[in-house]
Amino acid sequence: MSKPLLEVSNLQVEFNSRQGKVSAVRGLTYTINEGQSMALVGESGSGKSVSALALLGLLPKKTAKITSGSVKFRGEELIGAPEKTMRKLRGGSIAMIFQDPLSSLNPVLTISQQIVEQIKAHEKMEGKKAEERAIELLDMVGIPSARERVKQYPHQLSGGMRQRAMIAMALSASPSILLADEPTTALDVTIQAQILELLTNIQKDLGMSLLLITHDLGVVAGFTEKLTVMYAGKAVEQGDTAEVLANPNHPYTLGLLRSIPRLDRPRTSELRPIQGVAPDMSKVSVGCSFQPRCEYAQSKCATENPLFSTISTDRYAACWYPQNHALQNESLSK
Amino acid sequence: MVIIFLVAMMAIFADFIAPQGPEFIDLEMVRQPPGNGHFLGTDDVGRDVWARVAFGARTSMIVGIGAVSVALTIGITVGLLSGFLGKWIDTILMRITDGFMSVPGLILIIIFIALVGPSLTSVIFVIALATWPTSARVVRGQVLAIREQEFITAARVIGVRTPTILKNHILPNLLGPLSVVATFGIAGAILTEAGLSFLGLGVRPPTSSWGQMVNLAQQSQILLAEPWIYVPSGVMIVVTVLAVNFIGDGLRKAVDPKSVR
Amino acid sequence: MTNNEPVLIVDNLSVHFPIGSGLIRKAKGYVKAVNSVSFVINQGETLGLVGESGSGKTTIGRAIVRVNDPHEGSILLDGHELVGLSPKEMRPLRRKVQMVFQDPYSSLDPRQTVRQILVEPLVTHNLPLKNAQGEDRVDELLNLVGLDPAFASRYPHQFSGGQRQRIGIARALAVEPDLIICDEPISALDVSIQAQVVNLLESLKKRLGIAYLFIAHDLAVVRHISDRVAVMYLGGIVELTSSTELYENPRHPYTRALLSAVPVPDSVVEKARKRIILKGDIPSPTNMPSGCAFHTRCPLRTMLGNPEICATERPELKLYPSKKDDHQVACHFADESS
Repeated sequence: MSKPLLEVSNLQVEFNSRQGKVSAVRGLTYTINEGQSMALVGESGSGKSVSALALLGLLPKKTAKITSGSVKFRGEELIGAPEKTMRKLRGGSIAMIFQDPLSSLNPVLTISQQIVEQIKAHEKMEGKKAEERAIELLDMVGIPSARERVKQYPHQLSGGMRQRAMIAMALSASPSILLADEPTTALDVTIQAQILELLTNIQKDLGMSLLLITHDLGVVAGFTEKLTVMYAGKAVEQGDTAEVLANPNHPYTLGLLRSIPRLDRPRTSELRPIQGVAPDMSKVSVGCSFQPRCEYAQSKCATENPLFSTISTDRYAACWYPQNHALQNESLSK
Repeated sequence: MVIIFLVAMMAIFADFIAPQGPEFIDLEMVRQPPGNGHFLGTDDVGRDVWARVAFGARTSMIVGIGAVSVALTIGITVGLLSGFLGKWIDTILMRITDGFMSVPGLILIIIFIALVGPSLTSVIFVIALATWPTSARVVRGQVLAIREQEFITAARVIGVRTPTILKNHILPNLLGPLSVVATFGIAGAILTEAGLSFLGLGVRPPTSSWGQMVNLAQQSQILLAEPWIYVPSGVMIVVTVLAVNFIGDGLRKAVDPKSVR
Repeated sequence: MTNNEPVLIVDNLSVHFPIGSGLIRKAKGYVKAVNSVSFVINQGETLGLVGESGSGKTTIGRAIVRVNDPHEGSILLDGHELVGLSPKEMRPLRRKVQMVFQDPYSSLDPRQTVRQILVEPLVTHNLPLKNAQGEDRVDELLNLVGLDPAFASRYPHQFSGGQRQRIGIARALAVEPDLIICDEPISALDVSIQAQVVNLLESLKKRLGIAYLFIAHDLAVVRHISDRVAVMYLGGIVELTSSTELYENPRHPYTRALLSAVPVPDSVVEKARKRIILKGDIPSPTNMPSGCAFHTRCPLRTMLGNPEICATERPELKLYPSKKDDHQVACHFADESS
């Protein structure tokens, strides 16, 4: 059994905005073990990206605050840790890549300069050696002609290449866990497939853990072992990816799965959208935040906020009436 | 805001609040300190300072608003045509604009006034001539940005004619940044007018102008012993321009698209 | 609508963009965004147009509404030739084809109310503001797209992304077009809202008999909503057939790779899949490969030992004999099944 690497417990994050206090994350709990991959799924406003930034202490200090909860990395508490500790971890043991490589890479520095900068920040290596390592890394992530490419600037590379370069940078200090925030959303589908395959291989080769943040349930299915679904800042379902996708317990997860067209089902099946819109995050909800859109809601749901609790072994959901909504048995053809 | 309101009121109602008239010369009361029926004293020729300050406000307002109106009219037209029609019209118009901008404003103004002769009208026109390029550039920049928005494409797809697109879609979206340009323009115009009048190139006596009144401080006797003659107008200039600038700042923040949504 | 004539016939359409031209300089070269493309859309039919970056799918959509100008070829809308028309001549024809845009935020004028947005097309084409029953047309349009007529006095920023798209759809419907070009209409929306808009488009099609050109990069959605699908790569159509046939029996190696790259939310299926991973990046349209645009990445070509013809001759879109439907493929080796 592998040891827990990252333990997040009831994380809550608040922002100060013009509309007042916005509770962006309202309770997120998960554990990622060494070598394990977990997907954090949600739509816009679910709080998934904010939670990752909070982990690394990257939220703007003036406007955002972690109001409650704990984040432990290898047993050490990260919330409130001194900036020096956090800086060592960032890019070191905990690396992060983002959605848009064009804006995450410095346009006026060559790829080599950026990777070397990263390497030097975490390992004691001289210039020449660090440059060689940079080329090695680019090779590892599948960039052809790495030796020439390393001298180029970000805008000279294609979207897929840039993302690979970002991954190379992230891997430079051999991190124990990689946080990937929508790494393939901006990429074409065939390039997405390449990048996802790369990530999986790297993960296996390096025994690295992976936190994959995305809104794409298809991407999640093939590449992660564990799945946490977020809605309106809260974790609403968690469990083994295959199981959650086949038998969701929470009505939101079920709604999501029913509303997306899938290549593995007949094309004539009707899409069943989730009615209504996502809640206004600047308002605190009474009761379950999904209740206004929930088919299965009952009176209790409008008044009491369900807790994230155990449904069965390694299955959790925040719902008063979780059911085994077996997706396979749905009669879809009409 | 309040200050501007007061100044504007002053300008409009100058006749009433300064019954003695700014031009009424009372040689007996030359250079009197405040008091004696003259709220702020009299100046070197016996005119009531308070009245001159009040009427000076009117001058500043007229120049401010007048110059900016003319500048904006030219600027908006040029900017719209340049930004929307693009290509060679854009190139030609922008080179003309560059030409105007490359001549230092003050020199342009001084030469012009020297040719045409100083007066209220010439001051208004010459300030407008020197400042329209700014609004043209701002408008053009905005138009270029708006033009790329999909709702403009949508209007084209619907079949809306170009002049109608300009009127209904582009102009309303320009109001924001333009009001900022206009406000700062007014402040600038007031300052320039004061400067010109101070140099003797602007509004000539007997018409009152704040700048003109400050001019009198060149005489050391007035500067040292009779401060009531120039201090009030100096203060008015500073206060008014500051107030207009604050409004401009506030407008700029309010109009910033990041906060609108 | 007339007889059974197709709503849209596109024949040999090419759209080229000049690179680096200015007032004095001549164009240094051309980006061949769309290269000799031909297809037909029948009345009330949905043709899906899929492709990745540089495929030219968006450019085709814009060329049909004359936002981009075609370099050569013909576009017949309800029998009327669109290529070469002046803006004045084009205007009355704009009643027949409209467009729904990708970005719900920039496709509506933030300074106009919903009513003003919806009235604009009516006024531009001198259409009545009340329908035959005396009802207000704006109210009618809002009801059609599932929005409360009371929303007419509000501004775009007061609505969510999904609602704004509905307003955009209402605007397109105002002139009662025969064809609507949907340019990535749901890509910018949240997943759970996408289904709402897709269902709306489908129900409108049933009610009003409108044809759609549905441009998107999401294959699963395109499959769901389209009757027929055209797959594009670097400016050309590589495969064109019915939706069912395309997904069951793809013949072009690119289509196959594309389909295999689309993830499905089922772990069991995913893990069992054999993915075709294409090598390298999509070439830039400014630097098009010779012959078949796909030959530089084609796994079929590699398997067949790198035949010369792929690098020298551009394959035409030809009928592939299939038991089911009209199936066109642009590949020299379409017969080789993998």
